[in-house]
Amino acid sequence: MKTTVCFFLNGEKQVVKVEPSRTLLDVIRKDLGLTGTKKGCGDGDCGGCTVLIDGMPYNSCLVLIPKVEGKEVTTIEGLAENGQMHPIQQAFVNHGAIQCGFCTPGMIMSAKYILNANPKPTEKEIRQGISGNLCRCTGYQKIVEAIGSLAGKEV
Amino acid sequence: MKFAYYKAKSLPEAMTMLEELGDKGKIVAGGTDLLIGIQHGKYAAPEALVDISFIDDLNRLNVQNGDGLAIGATVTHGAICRALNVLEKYPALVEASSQLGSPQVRNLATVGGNICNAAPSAETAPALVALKSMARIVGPSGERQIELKDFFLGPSRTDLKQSEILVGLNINEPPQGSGNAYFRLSPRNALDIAIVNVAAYVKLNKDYTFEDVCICMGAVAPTPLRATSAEKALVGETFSEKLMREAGQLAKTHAVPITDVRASAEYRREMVAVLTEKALAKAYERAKLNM
Repeated sequence: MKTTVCFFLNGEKQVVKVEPSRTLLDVIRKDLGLTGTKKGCGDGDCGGCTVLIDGMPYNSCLVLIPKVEGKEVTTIEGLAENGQMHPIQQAFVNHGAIQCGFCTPGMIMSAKYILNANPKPTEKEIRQGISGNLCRCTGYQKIVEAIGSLAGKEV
Repeated sequence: MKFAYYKAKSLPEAMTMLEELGDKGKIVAGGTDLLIGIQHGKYAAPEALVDISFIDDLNRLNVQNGDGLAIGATVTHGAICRALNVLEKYPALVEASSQLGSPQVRNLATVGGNICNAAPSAETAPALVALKSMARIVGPSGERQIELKDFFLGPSRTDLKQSEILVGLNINEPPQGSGNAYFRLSPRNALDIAIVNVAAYVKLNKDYTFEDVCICMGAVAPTPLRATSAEKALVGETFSEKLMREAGQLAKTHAVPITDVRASAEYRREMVAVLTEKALAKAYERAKLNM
């Protein structure tokens, strides 16, 4: 039986009528058309589907849609403002921290949480912070440098 | 994957839902294990899930100086990690929770889920057993408590009966002169389960001899396992590297590990000794700072 779930997606109120057994990832991508959030493993291993819920990082493939009732969900599409890339996105571009790009949205959402929770993270804290995001191109070094370049800056 | 879903707002409501559903219902909290298990056919798809993670009483982490710790079943591992400053007497638990899964998984996965899932490699089980946790269970016939070490019956099997809910864990405050620690070994530092994990609790006498020792090992038997002969061998003795090595060798004799994709039984048995030594030494070091 379908259930109605009301939540905020990148600041915009959404009301969806869906099967409760569906995941947040599935609803974001298929019903709401925001495909920036990637489905990699679907098992909570790769972090490609990382979104922020009330500011905290989650694997959206593991979150049943009724769990986000009333919550604020932020995806990669919610970062750019007025056509301007978010400072984290710009840092990833500047540092060449993108290879195939599949892990990038999830990496950037994890980076956003890392920097919001701790504006001056050490390299170790950055590496621990992205430990739930796999980069199949193995381009971790530049990703760590991109996030590190924002230490102490407003994000 | 298709099932009905009910969000319980209170414990009595959850109890009613579970009793009505009988064996058609299943409890979910974080769901990090359950959903994947259903998708991959490890668990039979239930007709309905009863989500207990929105029950306020189960979400609380209460630390009372002198009284100990009460962990609600749906407290997440992320919440345990962020409560580091109030959990300074329970480092083994924080060390276990902080190595479970990944940051994203820790924000969803709950302490109760890790226990009820009853995986032999469960990250927090050895730490919680070594800290002598009591499991609080509520069911149709009221509330009962059992020692956590007796809660595990086998892989994915626990002492929970039909319609019973693990509501939380209680831990007495570790006394002055005690220390605890947790170590795990895994092919990866994140996103993988332990091939061996060991937690140790020690309490020292005023003359620094061991008064009380509790060692619990994971991933080397169907359930978390106490290394009782090693515990006994230490009581009344004074710390030395040689003694720790002997304790590690004794711990090894309890282990009955399996060979799988992550490690061979032989390797696991050797590593039990190493991690037991390490966990005891760290727990001892912490106990000395707490005399």
